[in-house]
Amino acid sequence: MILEFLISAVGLGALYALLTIGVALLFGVLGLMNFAYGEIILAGAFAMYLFRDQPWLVALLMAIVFAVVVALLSERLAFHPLRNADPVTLMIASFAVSLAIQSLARMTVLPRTRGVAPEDFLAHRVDLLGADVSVLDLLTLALCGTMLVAVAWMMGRTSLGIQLRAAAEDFQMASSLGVRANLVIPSAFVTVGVLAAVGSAVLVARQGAVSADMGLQPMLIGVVGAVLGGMSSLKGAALGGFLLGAATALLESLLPTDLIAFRDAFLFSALIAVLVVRPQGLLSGAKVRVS
Amino acid sequence: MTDTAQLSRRPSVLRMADGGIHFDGVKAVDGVTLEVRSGEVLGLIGPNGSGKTSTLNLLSGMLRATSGRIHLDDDDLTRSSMRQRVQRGVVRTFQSGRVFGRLTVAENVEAAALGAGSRRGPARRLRDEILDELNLGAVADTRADSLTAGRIRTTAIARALAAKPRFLLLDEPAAGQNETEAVELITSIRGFARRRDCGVLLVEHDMSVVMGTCDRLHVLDSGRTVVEGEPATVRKDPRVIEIYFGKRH
Repeated sequence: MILEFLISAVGLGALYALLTIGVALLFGVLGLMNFAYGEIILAGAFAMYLFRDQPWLVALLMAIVFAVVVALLSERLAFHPLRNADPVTLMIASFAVSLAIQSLARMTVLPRTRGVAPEDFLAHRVDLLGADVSVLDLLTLALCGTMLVAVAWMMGRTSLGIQLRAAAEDFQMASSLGVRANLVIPSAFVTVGVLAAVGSAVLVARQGAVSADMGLQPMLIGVVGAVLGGMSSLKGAALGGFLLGAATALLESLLPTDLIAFRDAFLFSALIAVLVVRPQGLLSGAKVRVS
Repeated sequence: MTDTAQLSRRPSVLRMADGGIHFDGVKAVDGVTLEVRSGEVLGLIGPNGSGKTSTLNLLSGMLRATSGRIHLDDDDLTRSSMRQRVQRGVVRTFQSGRVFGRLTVAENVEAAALGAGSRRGPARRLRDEILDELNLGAVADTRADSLTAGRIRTTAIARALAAKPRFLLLDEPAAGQNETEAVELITSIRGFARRRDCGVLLVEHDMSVVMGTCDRLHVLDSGRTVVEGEPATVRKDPRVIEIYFGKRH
């Protein structure tokens, strides 16, 4: 019972952390509050729907391709021309990109919600140390955990990661030292695409459906998690997302049945309380960027 | 007798000819001509507001000259961006340091080495060499934003060195340190500049710091050149004495 709960809570925490660093990465590198993140997830989810009859891994790979392409296209067509614009302009542009992709999807391929039958192997339950755990929960935990470790390694240990973090901190300085913006920025978008794709695969498996507006909720989770943890640090953002997910799972299992409908009200009241005490987020340093 | 390596390579010169810039009609730099040669340390001194930092901004590409030209040997850099100048080997530091605070000292230096085009292995070797030379080894894995102000400036210099400069433009690298520390720092900068045949332009307002460490001094006042020459000569120049110590009655 406890183990069951732990795996689903940590799994949801890892998923939310994944969604959160997708938002925080672009904010850190570009000062871009990317509301189109939800539509990058949508692109991945649509691939999961399109390739639903293929083996699951193939569908996941296609989701990565779709999401990365949409992420790179949004960079090229919308954010690249605005590279020197202020954060508010970028944010509004990302709204426009978000609405444009969502409307395009609704007009063409996803006029209404499409069901994606859950994969057989995901519905299985296995016995783990005496607890009855669903494969989906285990996969959520494994996949999101792996991605988090991979991103942490990439940012912390690789040449690209060092340059990305340098550019995130002082773009002009990094660029004057020869750090190539044209390498660093697209690679941040590629990373975000991969994160979004993995997130979308997990979301589709959990929800069993794909719709044009499905990106909204995960995007909001990402934004809220990032604000909670502190926008200016990836670690903080990941922690914020994780806490948000774990708290959601906790509330779901602790709240009496007739109060579960108000789960988010409890969650966000707690969030507001945290932000009253630490408006800069849990792990943020002194530097706070409001806009 | 002669060192053939020295003979085969003509010394490089970074030169500003009749350079000027004005802000809203105020001439911050007005017709200044100066040159830095590879291997030497040129001290750029003058009272506050004399145009030292503006001159450095013109040379580094932070500001574009409204008059005059800037050359690196035969290349005209007058219209080049800061980044293009860094690629040509003209690298500056900032008074505030502007280090990447959330990166460690080692990562700060490595980022610049990577930016200058080194691959991962050589970038790390260069990083370790520079950290060693500037005595930063002990704080290599410390986040730059938790360093003392002096260490932050040294990190900024280390990072500038990792960009493989042919000319290094330093904006008051020893500010806030006492005279002994300042002389020590500048002497070590002078040492590695010599070894790498790199020219150094040193902006400094403290006369006593530059006396023993610079090969030549260039004195500015109100955006114009007062005098240029060897430290011993410059110190005795009556115009310099007047600027620094006021008119003798």
